[in-house]
Amino acid sequence: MTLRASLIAALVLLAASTARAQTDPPLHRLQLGAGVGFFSGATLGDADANLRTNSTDPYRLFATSTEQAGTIGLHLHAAIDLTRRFGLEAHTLFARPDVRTSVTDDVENAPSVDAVERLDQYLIDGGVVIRLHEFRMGGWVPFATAGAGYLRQLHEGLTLSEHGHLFYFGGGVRRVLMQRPKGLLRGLGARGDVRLDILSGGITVEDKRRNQFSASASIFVVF
Amino acid sequence: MTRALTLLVVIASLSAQPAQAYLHLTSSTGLTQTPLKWNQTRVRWFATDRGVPGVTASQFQAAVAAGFATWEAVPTASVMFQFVGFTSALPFDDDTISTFGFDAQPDLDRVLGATSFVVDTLTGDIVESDVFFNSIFTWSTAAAGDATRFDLQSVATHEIGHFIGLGHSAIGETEIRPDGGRRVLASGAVMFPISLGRGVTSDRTLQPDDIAGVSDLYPDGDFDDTTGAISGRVVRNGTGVIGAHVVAFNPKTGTLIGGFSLGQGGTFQIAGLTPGAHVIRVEPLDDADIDSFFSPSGIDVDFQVTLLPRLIVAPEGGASDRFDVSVRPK
Repeated sequence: MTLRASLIAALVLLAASTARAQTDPPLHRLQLGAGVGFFSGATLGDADANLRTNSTDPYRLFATSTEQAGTIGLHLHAAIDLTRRFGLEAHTLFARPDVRTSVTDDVENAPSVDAVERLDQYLIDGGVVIRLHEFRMGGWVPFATAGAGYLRQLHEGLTLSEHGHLFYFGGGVRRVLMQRPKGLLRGLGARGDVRLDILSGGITVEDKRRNQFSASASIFVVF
Repeated sequence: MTRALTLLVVIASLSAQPAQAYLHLTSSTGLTQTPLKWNQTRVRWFATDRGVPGVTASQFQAAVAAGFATWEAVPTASVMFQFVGFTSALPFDDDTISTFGFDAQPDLDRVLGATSFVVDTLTGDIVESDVFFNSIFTWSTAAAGDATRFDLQSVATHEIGHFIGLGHSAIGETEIRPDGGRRVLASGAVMFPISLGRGVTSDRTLQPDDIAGVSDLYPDGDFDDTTGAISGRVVRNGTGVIGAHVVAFNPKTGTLIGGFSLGQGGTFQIAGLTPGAHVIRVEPLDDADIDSFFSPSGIDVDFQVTLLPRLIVAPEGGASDRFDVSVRPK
């Protein structure tokens, strides 16, 4: 059964439930969710193709500037509420962004180009969640989150991988749409996340930390 | 002398081919081309026992030894040398010993130095190789160079590149001078065929293209497993372009490594690359005389400099999928 089919089945089951929607899912229950998100681009760095001269000044053959483009990606997460305020969660993000190197200022006037490759990018991370019931709006409960994780990027053709790590912090809102007291599936909810990822390593030019924003929306089920 | 000075490799009866990247000298037997290389654990060499004004025989030997040490120090290559002693023999004597020394060649008034070979044409093994430095020029072994003289160690490092089997690199830019010679604007390899000029000592230090070349010819340890290659074809209107200079630039490392489309149908391969994405630039071979690289037959220089609108990934321990670079006529 596909993930999509599973979610539809959960909706049908929960629609038949007479349980009233609650603000929070039950404690110590596994929540699994899936959604889509937008991942912003990032500047990866500049580099000149330099030759040596008979002085200390290099001779630039051409200039390059590399960036990772923004893209839409898939977002999976698993979470568990330890208390009404605190929880733990893990995420996997998958996206296929382009890496684009602008090649300009060729010394022999070659037309400038954008040299492009498409990556397969995975982020696997985990962190803590703090729910802010004080700021609840309707059924939506805000939360703040922070954590760390692992970055894996596969170059086009999947012949070479590069690795890095990340720290993130962000927040969002969560709402339980339906709940029932018994059965395998105990609830259904929705959430929206906004995150700032601080990435190190992976595919980069200048080996500097870089920031990427992401915004995602997802649906989760409670077991 | 105001003209650009060419570093000439003597390749009589020899030719050159891109076994991987750069140029490796080869010997030809029928249709077979065999890369030239030493098949000895430690290559023995002699120095002539005569100096020139400003450079004694012992200073000459020390400068050449420093050049050998530079090539020996490449961590991804395995080639070693041994200085045997001084000799009264001259370079280019057919005497089974490899001799480095000064010699006056007034007729070669643009040649700073040259390398000759005696080769086993069946195996490609180098049997003897001599290097001469043209004493019609003034030379220096000063640590910081001498603005009025050519740096002996820099030129020796270049000639030793030939001595071990490397041809010329085309990573460099030149301009034509009014007298018909060429002036070097810049170079990206010790094996570029034209000197940067008097007083310049930068060619004492190998560049990535040089390191890739020697490592490909004499690979050490896991060189082949830890580097990558790219392969492709240069075409114009669907037809292969022969002799195009292809350069791979890695933005992360800032390295430039070159090769030539000398394969059938304009194919090329560049090995010894740091794994990762590369910018590809293709240009006609117009920054030095074509015959300083290889036999000029069939070499095409009638196309525009072209940058490929794709990043090409050199995988670790392997080669990229073959790709085409389409160029347009000038």
